[in-house]
Amino acid sequence: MEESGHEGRDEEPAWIARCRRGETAAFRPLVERYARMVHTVISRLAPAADVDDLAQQTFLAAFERLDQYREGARFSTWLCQIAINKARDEYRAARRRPELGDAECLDEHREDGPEDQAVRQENGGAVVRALGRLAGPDRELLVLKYVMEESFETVAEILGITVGAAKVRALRARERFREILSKDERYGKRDG
Amino acid sequence: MASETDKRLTDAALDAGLRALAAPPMAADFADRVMDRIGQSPRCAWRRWPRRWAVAAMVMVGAGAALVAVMVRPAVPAGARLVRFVLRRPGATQVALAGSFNDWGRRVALRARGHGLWSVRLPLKAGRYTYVFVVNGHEVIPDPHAEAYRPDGFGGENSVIVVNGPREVA
Repeated sequence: MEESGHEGRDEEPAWIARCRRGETAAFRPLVERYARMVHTVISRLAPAADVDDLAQQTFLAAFERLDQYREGARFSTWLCQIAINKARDEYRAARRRPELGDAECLDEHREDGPEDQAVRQENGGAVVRALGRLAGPDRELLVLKYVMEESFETVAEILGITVGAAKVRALRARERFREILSKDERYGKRDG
Repeated sequence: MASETDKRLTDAALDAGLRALAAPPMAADFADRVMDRIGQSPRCAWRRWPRRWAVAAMVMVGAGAALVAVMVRPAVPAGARLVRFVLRRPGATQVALAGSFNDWGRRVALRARGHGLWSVRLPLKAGRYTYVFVVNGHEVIPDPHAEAYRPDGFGGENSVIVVNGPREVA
């Protein structure tokens, strides 16, 4: 799981130990370190309007269940599991397809000309729409594997499946995603 | 990228499309709000106590709850009947019930009855309800002994139970 620009995870066991001893403030560096990761996961799995609240709920649940965190496991993986569960709960509660954020969520750091930006913006919107049309398990897998760029081992651990199952499901999810995206007339086109 | 004559997308185009997605803007005060929420959470309050006081408080609360459970029978609202939900799941550490009976809101914890059996009784009014079990906080499974099933819209299935009125035969 990404480190959000921080160097290592050496301090994490100490932060977690302090939290377990009752030092609430020791949880803040964990929030700051993984806030971006949690937002990214949830933003691709839940309606845009709920992302901030679900991200908050994720950290609150992590703090409340810190005693269940297994030392030696990656904190980011455990946190990602909680984030996905929060997004699933939201699906079930809302009983609706996520209204995923649109093209404004594209990577804004690349420097292209206006034409490239317009194409990328439209393509990004199509990708988001296609993700939104996938079934929940397919979407979770694609987000973890190809948006978060996690290893199959980590994806399998987060989703509670075997590595082999993760690979097979990723293959099928990619095909379904490809089919949906291929039918989007606006994807990959340039004006003129 | 797909051309107009060939709409099949290459793996590289798919990967690039997914990688181009970035996180939405994040509020600058996000960490502050999370820490405020943690500070206000009653479930987090025990962490701020010395451990021995926390243990003593939990023992007292547990004893009180046990006393109440012995003395007070579960209240069944008028027009409702107690419905028992059971799941056999050896090895589970916690099992909960989620369903349309409370609009998929707060989950209801099942109690371990031994030998991998988990159960809970809920007062339900007559009607048709969908529900699932949540095992160990993350594994969502339908009831293997449900009356019927229906798609949940996300690739899985919900269990279905039909509750008759209190005077009718279940």
